[in-house]
Amino acid sequence: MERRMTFTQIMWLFSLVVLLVTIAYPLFMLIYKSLFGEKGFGYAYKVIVSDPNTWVYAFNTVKLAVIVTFFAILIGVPLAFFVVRTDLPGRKIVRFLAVLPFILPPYVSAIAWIQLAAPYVGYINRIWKALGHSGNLINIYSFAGLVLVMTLKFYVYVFLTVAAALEQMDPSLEEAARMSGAHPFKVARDVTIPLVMPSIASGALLAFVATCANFGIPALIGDRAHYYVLTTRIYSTLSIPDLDKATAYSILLVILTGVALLIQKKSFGEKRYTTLTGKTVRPSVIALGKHKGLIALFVFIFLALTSVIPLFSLFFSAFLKNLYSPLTSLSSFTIDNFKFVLIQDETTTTALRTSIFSALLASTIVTLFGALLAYMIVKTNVKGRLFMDWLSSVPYALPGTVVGVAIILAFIKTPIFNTLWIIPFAYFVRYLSYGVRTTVGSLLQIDKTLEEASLMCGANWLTTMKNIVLPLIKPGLIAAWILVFMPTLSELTVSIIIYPPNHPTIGVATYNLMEEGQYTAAYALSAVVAVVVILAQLVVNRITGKMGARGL
Amino acid sequence: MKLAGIRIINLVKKFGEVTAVDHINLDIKDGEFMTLLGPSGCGKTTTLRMIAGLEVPTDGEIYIGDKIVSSPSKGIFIPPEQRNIGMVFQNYAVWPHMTVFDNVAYPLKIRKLPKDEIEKKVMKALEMVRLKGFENRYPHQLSGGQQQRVALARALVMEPEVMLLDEPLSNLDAKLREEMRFEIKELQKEIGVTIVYVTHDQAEAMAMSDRIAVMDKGKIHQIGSPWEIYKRPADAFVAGFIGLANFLKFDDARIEENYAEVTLFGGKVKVRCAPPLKKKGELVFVVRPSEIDILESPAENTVAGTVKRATFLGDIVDYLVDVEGEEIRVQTKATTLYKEGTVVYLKINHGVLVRLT
Repeated sequence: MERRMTFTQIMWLFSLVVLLVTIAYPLFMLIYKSLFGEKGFGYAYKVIVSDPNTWVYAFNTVKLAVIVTFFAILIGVPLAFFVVRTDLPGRKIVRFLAVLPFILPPYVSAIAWIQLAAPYVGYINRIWKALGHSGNLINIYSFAGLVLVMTLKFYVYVFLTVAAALEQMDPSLEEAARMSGAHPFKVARDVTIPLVMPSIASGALLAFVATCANFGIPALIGDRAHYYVLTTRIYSTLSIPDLDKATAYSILLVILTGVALLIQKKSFGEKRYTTLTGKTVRPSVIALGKHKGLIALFVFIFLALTSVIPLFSLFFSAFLKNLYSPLTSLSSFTIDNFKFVLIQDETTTTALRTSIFSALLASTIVTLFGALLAYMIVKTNVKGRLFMDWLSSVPYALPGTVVGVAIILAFIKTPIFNTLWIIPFAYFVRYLSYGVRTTVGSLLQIDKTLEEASLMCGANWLTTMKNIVLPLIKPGLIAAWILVFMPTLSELTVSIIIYPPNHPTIGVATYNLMEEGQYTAAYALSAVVAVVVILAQLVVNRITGKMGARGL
Repeated sequence: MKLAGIRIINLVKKFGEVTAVDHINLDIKDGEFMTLLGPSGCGKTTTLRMIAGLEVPTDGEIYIGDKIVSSPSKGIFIPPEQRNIGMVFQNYAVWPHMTVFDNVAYPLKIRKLPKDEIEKKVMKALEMVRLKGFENRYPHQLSGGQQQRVALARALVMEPEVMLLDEPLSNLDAKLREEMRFEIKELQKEIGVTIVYVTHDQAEAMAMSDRIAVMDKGKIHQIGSPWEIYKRPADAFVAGFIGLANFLKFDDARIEENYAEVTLFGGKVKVRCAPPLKKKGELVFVVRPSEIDILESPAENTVAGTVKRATFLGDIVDYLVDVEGEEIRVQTKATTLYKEGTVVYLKINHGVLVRLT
């Protein structure tokens, strides 16, 4: 028993130091530098207050997020209702297809839509022209295009939270209203909608925050539409480089997203109606009747347009010799694009190696360190464990761009900056929360008596860990590893801010290919990323069962 | 207040291939307290939900009063909101976003009653369930028992012809459960409403019901008063489900009009008992553990056995006695305690002959 105490103490000290150095210090530097920058005291805040451009970018960010959120509610709520509460055919497929765009990195979605709806060369506009029309049907490089791609990406937040609320709602609450004499429409108005309201608001705020914090889509689509938001501006000010201004923008972005997250936590976290459910919940399913076919057709056309066609046409494009090749001739197709990005090109092959190395290292360390933190949080009562829990979750709640800026500010003068090691390090900071949360989830399911029973059988603490705790949390650990590996492998937002010039990552390389106009190569690389990510997601779903889908 | 009985004729409910309710017939009188009792999955809740209109029957008819509310063959189905039935759910189903007052007032608001009348009726209903003074609270500020009373008031307030209660006490703790039993029974006596009550708890059913319908696997095995169900079970399932029972083999049985006589243990024991209720099927002899006496020394009409297990429960002692290879459960007043291994003599006072199925 005594040895365990000292062991815990050592681990406690170690964890605290790691968290303070890797997370608390960069966050502190972000605030410190915003006050005491190179250009004098309070420069950052002077920029925020006095530079009209700052307000333009902030306004653009909010305007975009509000409109995206509006459409996210418009799509997410009815879709969730149809999937959970009606006899819509193929509801499992609908759910899968709705979540599919969400598991892809945002820049891959942006690229998929660019090749589908770019002016003149996008398939939609080529077909439009072939039908005898002049000009373009849609131009993806516009504010509307930006809203379209981001809405289709982020409506999943509303869809998943509302679907979960509808699933968990005790059906007898609605049945009681009917027994009271209320017609089904009145039941919806008086009971269902008021009860789901907090979840709609909560999902909407998540969509709002995700839109504000996103970099990939506004960088690839917004910049060409001359629509600038805070994240893309931070990136371009850094390349000037003007660290003080980037810091100012970062603070503004943190305030924006922080306020939204705070509202979400405060007002909807507590007000969530917990309803006691006794027996297994069987959500009452409404028969769509004679409109069933029409509604199903509409839903499936929508999902085909939004999640299947962009992905398939991306694969298709990845085999094109060049963007202008006639689609009817077999000689227009080639596997050279894949050869180029996977074997020949030095930049992309370096990127592949860098990303694989960084993702492997980051996910392994996040899993191990996350498990250690999770163990202390759940199974011990050491001092400051709630603080450690909170601290580990901060970098994921912040926009990735801001985390990148904080890491620059904190480590620019250290030897690891401008080396390969800064990349896995940044991933560790950004994704530590995944490792902690997943393992906390598995540990909470292990009753303390299971460990005590092992101790009573004569096993010491270490043997108990090895024989009882580890086997029980192993699926959680594997899931955590993949959950970190997947996004880090294709990460763009943090990478593009901190990557050393000779070590681009897959995300950075893809972005640069798009910027340089090497479109077909970019499509091939995106297609590879998409396949890997989808396969990994299927593995996670298998391991965690239903948890995986919810964990999104 | 209008009252109405319920008549169920050949009611069937199938979920896909599974038959949840299998041709049941039930006549519930005006103002009667009828309990559907059975193990989980016996079809009792499905039956109740079909009366409510929350489940659509596959076949058969349901009448409330003289009005037919459900008949697939005639193409009739009155939706639940038009049946004017009060219902209390197992999970209370008290709306968390409304105050106690708004919860109870809801059925009246739907019926567009004038405001002052709503207020009067709600306060009366809250008084009935002893919740006066709680009207501005939200459900999460109430205990489980109080929430269940809100649900009860909500069902009462519309002065329904029929009230359906679906295991309303199963989420409460034991002490509260016992209290609520009497409260519900008192309320029913006061307003005289017809109640259909679903439970798997036989003590609850015995304490409250005028009549009990014992169900298993979608079928009704017996309908009768608590006394009849306990004293004269129709078959082995009812005998085993209500109270404790020994099922004994017998050598011979003589069945007369009003009584029967069985011979057990090679003629050593003869017991006068109730004759079987059902006409057909194999017979078994049922003896409640409390209907057997334990004697220290042999006497007439007794059989010797060895105490295998003796459990002292305070007011009674629970024995397992081995008699010629058969294990017999016996419960006696705790006046003497026979140790395990003691040879004792059993005297069977009563019993009942029942059909196996």
